[in-house]
Amino acid sequence: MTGRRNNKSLNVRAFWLALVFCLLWSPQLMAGFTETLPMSTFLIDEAFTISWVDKRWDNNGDGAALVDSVERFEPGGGRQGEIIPEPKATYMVLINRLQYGILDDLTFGIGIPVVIATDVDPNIKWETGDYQRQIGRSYSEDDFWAWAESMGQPRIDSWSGNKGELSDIVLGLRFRWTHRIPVFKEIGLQSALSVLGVIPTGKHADPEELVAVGTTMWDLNFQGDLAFHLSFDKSFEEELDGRLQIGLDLFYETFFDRELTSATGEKNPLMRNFAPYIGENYTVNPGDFSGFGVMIDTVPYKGPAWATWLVGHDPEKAKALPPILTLSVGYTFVHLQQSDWSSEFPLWDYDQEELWKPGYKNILSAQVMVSFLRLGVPLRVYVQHRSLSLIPGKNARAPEVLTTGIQIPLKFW
Amino acid sequence: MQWRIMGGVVFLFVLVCGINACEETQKPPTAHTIVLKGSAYDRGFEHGKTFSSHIHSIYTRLLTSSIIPYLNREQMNIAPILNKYKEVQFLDGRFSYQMMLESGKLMYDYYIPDEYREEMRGIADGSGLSLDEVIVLNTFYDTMMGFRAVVTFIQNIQEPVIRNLEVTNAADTDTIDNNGDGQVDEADEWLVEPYLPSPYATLVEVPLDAEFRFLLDDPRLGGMTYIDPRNTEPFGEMVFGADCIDETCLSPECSKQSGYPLECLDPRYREEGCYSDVCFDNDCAPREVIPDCYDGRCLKREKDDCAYLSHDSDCYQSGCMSEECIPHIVEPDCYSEACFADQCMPLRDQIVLYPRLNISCLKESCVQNSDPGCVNKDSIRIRVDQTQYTIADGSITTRQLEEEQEGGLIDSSGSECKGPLEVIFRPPGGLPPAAEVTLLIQASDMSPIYSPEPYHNRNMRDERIVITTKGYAEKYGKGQVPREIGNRGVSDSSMMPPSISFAARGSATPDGDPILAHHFSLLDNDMMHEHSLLQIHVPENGTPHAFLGWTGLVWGFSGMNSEGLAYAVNNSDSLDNPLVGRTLDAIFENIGDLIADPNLEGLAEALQSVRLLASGTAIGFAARELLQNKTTVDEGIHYLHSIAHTYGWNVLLADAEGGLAAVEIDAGTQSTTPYDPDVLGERDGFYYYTPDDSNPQNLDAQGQRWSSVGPDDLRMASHYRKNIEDMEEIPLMQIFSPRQQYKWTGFYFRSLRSYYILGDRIEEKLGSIDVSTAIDILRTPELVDTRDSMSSVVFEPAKKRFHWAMGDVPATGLPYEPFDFSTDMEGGTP
Repeated sequence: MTGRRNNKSLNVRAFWLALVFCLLWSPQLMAGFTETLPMSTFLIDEAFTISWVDKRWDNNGDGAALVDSVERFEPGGGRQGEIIPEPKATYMVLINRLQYGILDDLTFGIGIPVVIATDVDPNIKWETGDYQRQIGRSYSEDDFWAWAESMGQPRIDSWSGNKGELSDIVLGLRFRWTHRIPVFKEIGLQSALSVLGVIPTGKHADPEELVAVGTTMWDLNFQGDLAFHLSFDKSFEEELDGRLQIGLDLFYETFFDRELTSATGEKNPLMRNFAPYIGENYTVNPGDFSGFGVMIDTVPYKGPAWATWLVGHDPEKAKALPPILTLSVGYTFVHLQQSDWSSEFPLWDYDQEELWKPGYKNILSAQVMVSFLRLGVPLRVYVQHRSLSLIPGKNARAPEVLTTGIQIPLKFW
Repeated sequence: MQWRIMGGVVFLFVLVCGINACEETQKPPTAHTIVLKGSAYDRGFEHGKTFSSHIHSIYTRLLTSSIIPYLNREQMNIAPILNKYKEVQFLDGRFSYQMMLESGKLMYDYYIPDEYREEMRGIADGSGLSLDEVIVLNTFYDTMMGFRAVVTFIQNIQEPVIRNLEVTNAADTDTIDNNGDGQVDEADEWLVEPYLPSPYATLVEVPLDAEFRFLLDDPRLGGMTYIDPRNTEPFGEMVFGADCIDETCLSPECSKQSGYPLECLDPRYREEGCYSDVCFDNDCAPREVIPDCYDGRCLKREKDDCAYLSHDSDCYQSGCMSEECIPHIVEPDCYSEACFADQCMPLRDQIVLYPRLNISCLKESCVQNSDPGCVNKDSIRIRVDQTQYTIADGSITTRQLEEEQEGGLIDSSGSECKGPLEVIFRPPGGLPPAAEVTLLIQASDMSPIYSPEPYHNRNMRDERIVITTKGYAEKYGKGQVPREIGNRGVSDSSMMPPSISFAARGSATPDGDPILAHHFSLLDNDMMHEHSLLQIHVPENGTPHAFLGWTGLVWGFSGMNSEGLAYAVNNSDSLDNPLVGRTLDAIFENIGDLIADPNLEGLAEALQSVRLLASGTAIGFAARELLQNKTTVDEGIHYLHSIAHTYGWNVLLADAEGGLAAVEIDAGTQSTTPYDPDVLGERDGFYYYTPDDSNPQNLDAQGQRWSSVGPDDLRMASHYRKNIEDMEEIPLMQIFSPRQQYKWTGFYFRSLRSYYILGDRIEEKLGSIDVSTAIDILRTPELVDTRDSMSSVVFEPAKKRFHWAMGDVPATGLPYEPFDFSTDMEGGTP
């Protein structure tokens, strides 16, 4: 008989898009985890990402709508019905990346994601509740919203925004520490340590909006504010003519506490008016990520190696250039820690934490890369798809992410 | 080797992950306990300080975003009749807060003892809520209940009503008093006229092939729906179009415009044209109609002849108002015309300010059309037990009738409604033999109600009628007269059970010690349970006591003191409350004119100065006084008798010596003779009884105990048993007459059902009702409101301990936590 629902307000705005996209490190020359650029080389990478999400994995690992349904009650008159949101969100992001080879085994990178647009369709459904004597029927969906509007609460509508908004900028360094140890080269194993940090240039969602998403790393779920990656690549140069590479990436990513502004009810007086009791601001620790990724790169077609201007007309150097076609598949496991919300009202904190409980996500990815370097054109084109919906996760959103981009290596001296 | 290296790294990584914080968050407690000692202010301050965020939460989530906007919606129905509520201080969403504040302040100033005023001050200081907000939080319940009754009353006088019912095809020869009128087999044996809702069966031994005939009336008052200026399109959906508005109600500028003249009626649009905006400042009333009078915060000194229509009294200048108006809310006749621009002043007499248009601005033909006085035949639903029938399935036929001058009824189908709607119903397949059968009648009229939203027709209360069918009396040995069968009805998931309480002692309990059990249900709103607070007070003067309350409130609906006096309060709707009382007094003063021409315009005129103010000692404060200063049931009865009450309540009392009493209270506004508060006796608005059958006062007209199964038990639900005539009808007032509880409250039928089921459960367990059994009874599924359950408790007065459950919905689903005055008077769990 116990077990009251906990979802106190419709919280459509607070779902991570979970793009889960390596923001900084573009697909590398061999698409492995440990590659660094040759010294004094730039790599410009322009990628367009579109992500869509309409489900999540719940605490039991079952597929569910992104947002819990919300029961609504007539004051003293029982249950009016249940708002059942089945939202779908679409995110389009332009990711501008620049990497520079400081040394042959040390690369610096900067990533500047710019959100092109975010669209959220709350896709609200309604389940009727108790019979309401005063109107002689149960509330229909229209009845409920007419009621809500008479109370000052506007009907939930689609939301579109973040047009041209900057996300958090990411800076990073990758050091391929095995580069200088011959034994690793002998056994075909390379390892790199990467450190990434975020400059908080993104914006949080408007707290007053019911349906809104921000552009911070937390909103996009690209990565943590500070990330450490230890990566390994095993290539099979001799055995398989370099047509196979297996990579392993271990990572730990942490989010810093962030202070957010509480909703005052200015736009949604019934559904988002927390400030009077939780305080004007509250802090969130989203919980850290940790996990590992495995990637297998295969080369079905190396292509000709022309001794073009790119390699100083040197045929040997041309052979060292990346193959024309590389196919990669990968799997990433991400463990999510419990989020920690802190306001003046512990029960509200708990309600939010319930939405972000510990869990994990299983990510499958596939990538096709076509390189024209061997043909004397400094250009590579790639398409990548990442899916969190194929293998069930837990307490995680399940987006699909499609990315396409181009890379242009440059060397000025 | 490389694989070993990589495997080792993975292992280390997993280890690191494993020691990270991966545990799920734990839910904080929703119910707390606090022990408060010291002066009233100190106790309040400690309470406020400890639960500051909870108090802000309860205020925001219960009042700011629920009750206040919810009641604001009623302004559109109230203001056209109670013209006070058209005034500026009640506009722009301030209606219900302002009303509750005025009412609360009246109680605070005149009825609430100093002790609790100090405690509220302490809560305000400790929590950071303003004192006004704390007053509203602690008194809104009494105001809201009375306000609800006023709104219901206004709706009631316009709703369809069952005039009579009859079984048309039954013989009058069964030697049974089928309709309970005291006569057997008379000519109208199967006629019930007038129809009155009954706590018992309405007809017994009904033939299985019975055909029922109902007459339904719909009062015609000329409409209660008005144009909502915010809702300007499409006009076709509105009751009144623009062509219904009298030109004289429009300002000259506006009347020249075509399109949507409604915009011109809204003062938010008018003010720009009529008043100088340099006069306003943010603190006072930037939106209101003040001409060149303002300078800075308040009125310019050199403009003392200007007035300001605001609830902020420090914004007034006395030169503008008559002395009696200061510092109270400014009356319309207190303004100086000098304050208004010439072209605007005349409009004030004609146009109701936002949000509604004055009915006098509507053309008569439109008003008439808005309330045709017809019952909508398509709306009729008759449910027989669990099966519902409508006109569409052929089991119901209707005929519009018209009153003849001689008093008869003739067929008037095809013409407008001038009489009742006849409804003929024959249950398909007949009625089950030897059974209790429940008929549920629903109907609405043809007046479209646009406000409060959502759109609906005006519905009468669902009337529940219980009958027995042929063979029942023979089979069960009862039911020879309707009174022998309770109106409990069939299980109905659309009706949640209300608050219940019961007490037992002596032969009813295993050890003879008294117990008092309570489950209060009314308004959880999906949040109250998160603010549950068991408060234990140790006052400097008075008896230590505990009650089941909520953060920010200084009272609860049940409690016990260390001497063993325990109480449980259930709401018991009554129109006999101060809010309705004031309204009726004003109607009574103008009754001649109203009866001569019964319409809403006249009603509005009669009620133009009426205010919705609850006066009396709010029930929660009365309960605190019981706990702090009384020790026995007798003292408790005396105290409750001595004070003025705000609304209708059913109070169950028990003490350590085994004293039990049920007290049925209303405000007693119909009392014509003064009473001595020091001399205990029943009076208008105050009835009480115990299980003691040696006192005739404790027995009904049939010589039965009012509300007991045996000599040592009592029970109450949310309707009156003895105070049946809580608000007597006043025939002179005709349609405007007040009504008894049983005729209007939505609680009535569900309360009856709970009352009877509770009686059954007590009877089953009589003699073995200990704490565990009492909890079992409270947990009876049919007695549990799973939506708005708020608190539950079983008191053991003789043992000075109790068992309480709060913090979830329903409260009865929780474990009952023990509290013992001898051991638990320290600490708390904030």
